[in-house]
Amino acid sequence: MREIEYIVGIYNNFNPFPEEGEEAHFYLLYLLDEKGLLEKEGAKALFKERFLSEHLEGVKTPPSMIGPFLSLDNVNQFAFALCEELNAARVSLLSVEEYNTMLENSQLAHDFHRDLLEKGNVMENIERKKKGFLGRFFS
Amino acid sequence: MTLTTPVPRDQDTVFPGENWFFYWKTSASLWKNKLQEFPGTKIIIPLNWSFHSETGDQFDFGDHRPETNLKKLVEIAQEVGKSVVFFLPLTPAPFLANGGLPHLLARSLALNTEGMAYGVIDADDHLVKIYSFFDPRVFEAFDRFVKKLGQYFSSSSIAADVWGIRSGYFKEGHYRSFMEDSSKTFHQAFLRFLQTKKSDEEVLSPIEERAMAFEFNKTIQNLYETNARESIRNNFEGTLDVAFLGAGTENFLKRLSGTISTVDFSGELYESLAKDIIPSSVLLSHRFKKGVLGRELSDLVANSYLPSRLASSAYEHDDITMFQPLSFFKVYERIDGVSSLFQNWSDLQLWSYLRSSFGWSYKVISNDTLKLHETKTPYQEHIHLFHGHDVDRNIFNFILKTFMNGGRVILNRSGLSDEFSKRFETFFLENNLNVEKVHFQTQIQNISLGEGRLVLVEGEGFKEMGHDDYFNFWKTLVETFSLIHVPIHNVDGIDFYWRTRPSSTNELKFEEVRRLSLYNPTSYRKKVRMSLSKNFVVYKVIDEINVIVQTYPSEIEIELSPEGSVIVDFGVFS
Repeated sequence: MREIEYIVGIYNNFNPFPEEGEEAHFYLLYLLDEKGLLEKEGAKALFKERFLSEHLEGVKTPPSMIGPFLSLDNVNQFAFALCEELNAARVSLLSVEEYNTMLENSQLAHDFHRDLLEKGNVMENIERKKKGFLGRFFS
Repeated sequence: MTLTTPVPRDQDTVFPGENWFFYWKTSASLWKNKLQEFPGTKIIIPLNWSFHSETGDQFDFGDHRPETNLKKLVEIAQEVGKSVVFFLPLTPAPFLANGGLPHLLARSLALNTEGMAYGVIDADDHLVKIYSFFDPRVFEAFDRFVKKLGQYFSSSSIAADVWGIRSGYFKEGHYRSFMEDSSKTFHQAFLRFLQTKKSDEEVLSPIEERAMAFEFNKTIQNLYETNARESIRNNFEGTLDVAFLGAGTENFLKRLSGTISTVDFSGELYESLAKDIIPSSVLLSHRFKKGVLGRELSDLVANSYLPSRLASSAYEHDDITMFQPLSFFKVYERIDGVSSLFQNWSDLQLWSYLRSSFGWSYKVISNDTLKLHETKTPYQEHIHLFHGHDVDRNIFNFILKTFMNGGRVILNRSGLSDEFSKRFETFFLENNLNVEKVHFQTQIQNISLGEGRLVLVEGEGFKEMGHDDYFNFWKTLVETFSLIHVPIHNVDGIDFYWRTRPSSTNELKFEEVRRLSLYNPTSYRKKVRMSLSKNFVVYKVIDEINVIVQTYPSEIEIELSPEGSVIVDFGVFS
């Protein structure tokens, strides 16, 4: 498995199917790392297994999104769990509002990409560093 | 916000793809050289509003900067033997800074349905942001621009055709317009629209609100189009949808990280052709188009589909030497913001059946393109597919007319209103038609009249079925229509496209010539095989690049190396 440095998640709190009579919930729209878009299948499996709230079972979700999450805390917890599963160094979450502001203020594609990876709500995976450190003794 | 500055660039930048010419990206003193070097005869010139008006109030058509002199540009093109077609963006245009808006008007970012701002990377790796066209100041400024443009065309005696273009992109196989907007600016305008449509006490259901939002969006698009049409009435030819390859958010994020490949674009190219939407690669850097993708764009778009869509006369349009896309199916999908909520062709797994059995030999028709398909192609027989929930008076009449004229129709009864259900029954009774009933996975009714066939499928009657069951259902149903087609084996990973033309006078032994274009975008060697039925003979093999073609009496085997491609013509007779 390739080493992942950053995971970036872009989320929104909205109602993708207002006609279904649902309320707005949090959804992860895109997941990417420094090399491109992350395959969502694994992340979806992790969500179903550990993060799908009983209250939200049966809520229709667009196939391209991960969710629904009850709260932003749940999104954070999920993102961190994903970071651990993939043994990434850090995960950063951005709301669509933050993404939009960042895009509006960028002039170059390269700068926007760098901001996406480095800004946002960043959580470090300290365990990974420990593993790396301990790995030297135990491998 | 970004400003566009005319800087001389290389040939690739001014000719970004499919004969488009970006006149503002080079000096007017170089126009003649550039146009002379260009091999094509018809040049598409997209009009860059912000280049002619930085503020939206004052305009420059050659008064200050020679690069804004469109009259001169047309004259130079004619001098070097090229004809010119102008494309006037009627929606945000992703190949122009700020989506084409003069920078003072670029105030409110347009947001897609997920609430994300549209971000696009152009062929020069510049970041393009799209601003809302629902700002009344934008509409007023656009109106001033097209009026001025119309006066300029008229006073300069520019006779070239002008096509309005609506820009869009693909998301998960669906075409989306850059006019789709969920920004605050859109919502404010929509609220004003709603106030004129309903009383304060009236509460709309979410479905009604969605339908209204769609209607509002269409209304505003029509206003932009109407103003352009009326202002440039002598030149205005019509409106076209253009899908910009690589312009969706997913591809934007992939391009940001440099992980995009040509395969990400070719699917969008074929989807566009199936939907009669002009594909454009102008956002893609030429490094993506050096190999197979460049050949696909040249063979299928620049030298085939585009000239046919832009044909200015019926004679040009009916040129029998031109290959037209081959299609066996015309699948109708209404686009009104609401129909997609009901049972759709994806639910019935029609697309995966068609794709695996017929490649891209089908057309997806919407209410916008129905007119294009009203005339029957004399030598191409189609099976028309409709959903009951899409049936209105127009579609009902279309179905009956097609059936009475010997055409073939499959109607999924799901959502068919009582009114039209009764009308069908009355039609069968009045014409004394025999309705055969069969149960195969669901209830099916078959009605025949001469060569005409109408098959009614009870779409809601399918039980929980897997992919294979649906595949068998469609296969069994379609086989009853006896289509003449050659399936291709081992075609995974290969891009292929069928076209057709009637035979010419020196090909009288055939009734039709079918052209198969095969491209291998993978980095693997691929071998495909076709078993030829008695109606098919290999007629010509042309444009062989990294390919070995072997023909046997009733079989053809084609081995394509990575980046290999070939065109095979087949003679077809009954």
